[in-house]
Amino acid sequence: MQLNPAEISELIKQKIQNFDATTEARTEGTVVSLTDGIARVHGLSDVMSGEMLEFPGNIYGLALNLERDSVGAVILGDYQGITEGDSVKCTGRILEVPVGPELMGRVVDSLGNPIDGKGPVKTSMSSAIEKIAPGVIARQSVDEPVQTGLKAIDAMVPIGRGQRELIIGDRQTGKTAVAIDAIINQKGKGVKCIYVAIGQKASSVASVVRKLEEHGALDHTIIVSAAASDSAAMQYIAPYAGCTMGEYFRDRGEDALIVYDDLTKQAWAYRQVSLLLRRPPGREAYPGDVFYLHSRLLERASRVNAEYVENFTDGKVKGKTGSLTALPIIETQGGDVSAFVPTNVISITDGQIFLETDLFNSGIRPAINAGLSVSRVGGAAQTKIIKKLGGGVRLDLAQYRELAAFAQFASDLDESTRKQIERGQRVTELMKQKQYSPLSIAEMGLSLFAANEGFLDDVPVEKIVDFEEAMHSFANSNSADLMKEINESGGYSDDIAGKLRGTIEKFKSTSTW
Amino acid sequence: MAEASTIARPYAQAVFDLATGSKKLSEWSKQLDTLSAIVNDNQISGLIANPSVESEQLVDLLINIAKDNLDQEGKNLVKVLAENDRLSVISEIATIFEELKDEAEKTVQAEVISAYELKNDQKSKLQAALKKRLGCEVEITSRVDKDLLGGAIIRAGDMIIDGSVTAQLDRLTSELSH
Repeated sequence: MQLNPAEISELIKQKIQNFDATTEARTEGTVVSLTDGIARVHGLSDVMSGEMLEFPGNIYGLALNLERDSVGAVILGDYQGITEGDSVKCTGRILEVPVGPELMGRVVDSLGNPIDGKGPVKTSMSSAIEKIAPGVIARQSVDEPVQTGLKAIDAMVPIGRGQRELIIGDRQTGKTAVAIDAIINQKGKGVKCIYVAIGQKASSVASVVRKLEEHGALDHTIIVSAAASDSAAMQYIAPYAGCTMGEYFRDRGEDALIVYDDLTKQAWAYRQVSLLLRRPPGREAYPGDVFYLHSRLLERASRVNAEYVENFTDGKVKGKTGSLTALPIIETQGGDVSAFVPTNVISITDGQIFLETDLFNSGIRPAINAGLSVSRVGGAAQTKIIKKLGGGVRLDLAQYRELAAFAQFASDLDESTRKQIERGQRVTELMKQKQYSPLSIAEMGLSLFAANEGFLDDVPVEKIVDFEEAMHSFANSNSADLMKEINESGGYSDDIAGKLRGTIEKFKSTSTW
Repeated sequence: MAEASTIARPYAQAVFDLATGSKKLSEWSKQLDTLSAIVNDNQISGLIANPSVESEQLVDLLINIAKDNLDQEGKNLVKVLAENDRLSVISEIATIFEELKDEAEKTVQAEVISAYELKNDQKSKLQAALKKRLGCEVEITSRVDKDLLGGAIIRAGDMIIDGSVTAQLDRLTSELSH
């Protein structure tokens, strides 16, 4: 028999002494009907919208539809034991989840209960899952970058702290991989991460947890999981629960990054709940408020100014801005971005990273479509060196896309067109990057510099990947000071350009790849 | 389908308005009581649910059973309900009517469930305390439930004041297990 630490007699004595034995007054109702996790409750005249209801057996529900003679509530968790005629209590609380740094490195469900078998989470605070986003006065413009460690993203579709950048693409195009790489790259950078898995296979969640653990990224990450087998209500509230956990850091002057993987499944879960609550269906059978479902969630990702943080913490944290960056993921069907939910989320977010099956299958990974991917605010936040050098790469790729169709007539083309095509092929090749291997700013800068200055033009296309890898290891061992300087300052000057040029020339003349 | 009480509300409201107009609240309350007792009878409810029984037959049957307990307006109510095929909600109409009546007379029905029989002075104390708390007259009905072990539960409408020993033990259980 294992002894529970809560069973020490001194503690029990204290608990019994402090036990508040007063009578409780509450409003009660009875379950009238129960269908597919939706309970109709008669009574509960004082219930609030969004209030937690207590069903027998420590099961909670969420009051969603308040009607004249009944309340429609979704049951959070297992509704097998509940029967018609059971009494339902009001709790007087809006649905809350535990928040705090104690959640780091843990896997929890939508209600904040640990599901990783590592024992209870000892948080001291909890916070409502539905909150209004910070207003206009509390906000500040985005001017610091979130480094994802992926060349293609940091150079072409940069993400700033507090931005909402959509990751969109068909199944099996590497959407989750991009998000996981971004989380891994936050190791040691002080950005807390939250990964919200909605409607995924439990095995996928387990493998994400394992990968994060392997790369030492679990310690700064909270994983909120509402797996495919969890009830639709749990899948519906999971993003809000994760967002509340992220806001804890934002409001205390820290930076956080949240990944919603994916919001399509959340919309499905919400559609199910809404239809069962008999709300009228609209386009694609989604309820009328499916836009608001996502807009209110993504609006909470924001950069807040120092004053807001100071007010929030009662002056304990001064002069620090907070941010919550959101990377929502949307899965499209057959590349159709004009479906209902994708268009909604595209219009809400500050840009999108568009992943394509064709690119993925032709070996360009991450399979980012550089033409359709945009970042509306990230440019202001980009590190100076990447901004300076990334522009050229973007242009090269844009020109290449126009000319790519002519690539097969290579022999008949004039000199400048042929050169542009060749440059484009090499840059496309350069943008490839292995999974779980994020690059530092200096490494990225070095690669971009090499492409801009034409150092790649005499390297065979199929050798570009090897060339880059060898160049990085050469620079890291032979020009460590330069790399360190770039990583720390992120600046770009003639002096740095000269040193970069020197490094690459030395590498090309002395090394093989 | 809308809920029975939603269907019953306009009927109850209409009956109530009529009753207050003619100052016959208690008469109506008795009539509705009788009607709901009749309708709740197994045989009668079976007949009401049976689609092959004509509504005229039902009206005759109900009026005959109720006999002198219904005045002309009461009979008319039965006819209207039969015409609209709503005879099955009579008991809900009676419940809502009672609520409206209590509201108008500023009284509340409170049920006290206690572990032991309440003494008269306890009842009057409770009544006074509840009057202060709810701000209106309280009519107490009491019931004994040995399972409570001690203390009492007061139920007034949706509100429940739980001072039973079982509830306290339950809360102590959940306190200790956390």
